[in-house]
Amino acid sequence: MNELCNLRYSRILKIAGFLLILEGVLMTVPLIFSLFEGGNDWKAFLVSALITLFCGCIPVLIFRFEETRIYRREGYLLISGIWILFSLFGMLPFMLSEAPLSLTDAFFETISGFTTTGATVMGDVEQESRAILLWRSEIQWIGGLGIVLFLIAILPTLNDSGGISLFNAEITGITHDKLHPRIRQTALSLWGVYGIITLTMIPLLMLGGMSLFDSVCQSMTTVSTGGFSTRNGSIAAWGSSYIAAVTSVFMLLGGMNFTLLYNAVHGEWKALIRNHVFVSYLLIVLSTTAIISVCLYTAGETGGDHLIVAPLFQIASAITSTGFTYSDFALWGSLPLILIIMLMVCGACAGSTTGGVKIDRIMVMLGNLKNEIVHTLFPNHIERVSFDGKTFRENDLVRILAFLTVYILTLSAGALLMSAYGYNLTDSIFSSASCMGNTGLGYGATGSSYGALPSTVKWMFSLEMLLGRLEIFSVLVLFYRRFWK
Amino acid sequence: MKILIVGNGDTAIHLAKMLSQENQDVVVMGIDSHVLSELDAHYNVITSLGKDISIEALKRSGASDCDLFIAVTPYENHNIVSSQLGKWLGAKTTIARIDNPEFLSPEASNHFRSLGIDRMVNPEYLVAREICISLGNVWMRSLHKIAKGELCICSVKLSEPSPILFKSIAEFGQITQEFHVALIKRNGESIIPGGSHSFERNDIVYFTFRPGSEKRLGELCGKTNREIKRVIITGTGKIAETVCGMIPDLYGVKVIEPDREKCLRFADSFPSVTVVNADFRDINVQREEGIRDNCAFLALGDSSETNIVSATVAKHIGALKTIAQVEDTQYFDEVQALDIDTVVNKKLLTSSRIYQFLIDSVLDSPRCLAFEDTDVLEIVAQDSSMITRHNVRDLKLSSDMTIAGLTRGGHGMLVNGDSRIEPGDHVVVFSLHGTLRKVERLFR
Repeated sequence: MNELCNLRYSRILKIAGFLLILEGVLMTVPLIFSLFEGGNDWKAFLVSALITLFCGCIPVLIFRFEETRIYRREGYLLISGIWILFSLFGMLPFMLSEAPLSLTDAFFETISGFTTTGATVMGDVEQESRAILLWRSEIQWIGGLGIVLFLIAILPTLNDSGGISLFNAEITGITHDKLHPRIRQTALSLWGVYGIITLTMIPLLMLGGMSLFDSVCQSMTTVSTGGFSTRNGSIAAWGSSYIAAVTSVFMLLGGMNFTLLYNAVHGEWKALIRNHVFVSYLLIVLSTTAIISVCLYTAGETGGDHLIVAPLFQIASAITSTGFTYSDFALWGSLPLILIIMLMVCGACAGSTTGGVKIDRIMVMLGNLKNEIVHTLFPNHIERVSFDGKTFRENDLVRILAFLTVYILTLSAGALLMSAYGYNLTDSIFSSASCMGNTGLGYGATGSSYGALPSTVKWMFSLEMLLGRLEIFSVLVLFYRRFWK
Repeated sequence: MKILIVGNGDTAIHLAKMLSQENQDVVVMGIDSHVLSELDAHYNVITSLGKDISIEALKRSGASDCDLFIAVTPYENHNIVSSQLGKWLGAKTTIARIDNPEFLSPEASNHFRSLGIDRMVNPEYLVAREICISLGNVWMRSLHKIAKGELCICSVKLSEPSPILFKSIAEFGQITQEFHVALIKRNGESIIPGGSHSFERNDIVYFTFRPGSEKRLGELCGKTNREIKRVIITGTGKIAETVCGMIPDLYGVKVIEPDREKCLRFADSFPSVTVVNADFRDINVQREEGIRDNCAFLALGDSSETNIVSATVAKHIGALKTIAQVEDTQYFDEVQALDIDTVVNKKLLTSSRIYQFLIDSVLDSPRCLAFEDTDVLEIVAQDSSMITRHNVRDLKLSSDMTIAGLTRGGHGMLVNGDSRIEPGDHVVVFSLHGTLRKVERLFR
């Protein structure tokens, strides 16, 4: 009954205000760091933080007596709105810094950060101040698990049906498992697992000879499967197989379902091996790594680093949509390239921080394919798609099909637009797939950075990143006329 | 507290919704994945798919470490077995919904307790009890005694020719000090009234008062307290049977049922009841059976729609009191606004009963009653409580709570603006949902 009444903008604005205050507080981290370091970018962060806090406080103060209880429609508006709003305010430091970016570039960079895509317009990141680099890593870390999930964990008033609908809209996947009956506890546990993994990675990277600053930044962008690096050469810059191996493992961890990971941490290791999606994920990673290793071997490469670490790293980077590079895969030939494009579209497990279609959806579709074959032979048999204790009904299948359709259409539209500006087929398809899947890898024209692309393409890719991160429907409902009535 | 609810019918769902708002860890186990996923998507509960008497499913849903195990599937046997399994697996307290009212007798319930079922709830019994209570108070919609019977809460639907209709609460206060207006329900919305609110037609008003003032309240609400002489029941279902078994002998009971076979069976079971084989929708039959003669009309048939229509018609042609059983929870609220004196719903009564049981014994809450969106709390004022520092008028209470009365030294009294709460008083507070914290602050 309540869902039919008008959208209550005051409530949406109030929650959005809370989120902006949160973002303002997050900006103080690079601000303090910059002051501590003695760089010049503290002004940019101070101004940005003040603007953001100010804009956040206004709705919170105006609507301070307003409830925060929201319903489904308001949830969708809030979730899409907040990702855009966060990017609009998050780009301020990039525009105000010593080496300012244009509006298009700053927005592209920020939304690429929040959606954990990791496609950058900065050709030379080593020229940027360390505060800016920290901010880039920080937004990826927050965006990885989800901006609103952070608020649910902090704000007790969202511990109701409104919070649950936001949770469902932000966590990736077909169905959403709660860890606890109460949504706030679930959010806190997820952030706990996420934080612990990140903290574990930092000392491991430092053991490989990375500096503390680089380790922190790299850990945040690895676990969130984001892919912003502090070096121009990405992970290759350190030239260490050890660092590449550690990063691969944590990228793969970031590609796992966090609910599963939480249960595994709490002693249910067997659940991990029994989980079909996780096993498929491992098999895909291992088999594609093997294929590429064989390809490289026949091309005359030798040595463990080239034959095992490099392919594994690149596969992990592509399937988990991280987008780090360790070796120049452009030189590997077309078979590995096509595999990488396929993995970018495929993505890792649902409920992780990765982008792409997700293995769960592909498994449902393959299960359905098998059923259709059986159906052709035995029209009266009842066949169902079922794995990991979940049975998928017709409406799930239809929804996944709709998802895939929009996914492919948007991906093609992006590629079409890019090719209209004269870029070749492979570059266009690769870059569009990379943005849609929140991967951020570049190839050919986008190999070193996305900076050279025309503005129109950058805006298109920004939209693709948002659609990819929020899994399409949460954003698309806003374009439906009856949503607003 | 961990609560496992087994079943996914209306009772289970309603209970899960109520408990999830209490910040309890609620798990709902059922067999209908569609119902469960809807529940999961909107409430703070975990759902799990599984059969009610499957040991594996119960273990998976956490029966072994739950504090409370509630089996409310539609099947009595399943609930009993499920509760036993729950207890065996390690549940601390178990509750089962049952059909046979005999099980509620002290000996039988002792036996069931030894089998591992701590509490049993019988929906038909609850409905029948509700009906019998309301037959005793013709014009009241409900009557609750709280604070060891020292205070009463009763709800009345206002209609012409009540002398207080359209008067404000302040004016009502000048007429009499015997009553406190605690809550007004208007168009499905609950209002804690202040002095400037006035009574509108069809308002459902909750008064608190000392026992003995019922008659005066009836006069003020424009109700004449005529005694019910006869009761006409439609339908011969389980509730009708339970009512006929419980109803006091002073009423002449008639049961109207169109099915001849059912009539004969019913007549065998209840020799003192007059069974009429006729279509109860026929107004002439109702007139013939004396509906105008101080009669209560109980529409207890299987179809909610038929019950609603026949109760409305019966009221129209002159029944003194009408009660309709409405099982569809969807339009339960809407029916309240129609011209039917009392509407009863098995599932809501059952879930409220279980909830009430929780409030009494398990939840850490001072509540003594819970209406749909309003709690009635009974809290003892301490020396340090803020509430004892000023007169009630100067406490500047927020508009979503009211102090309805108190008992001091075992003696009940009402509260007005000039009263002052003393330490040791048991204070009765009406508060809308979500204001519990504000109330606690007053008593800290």
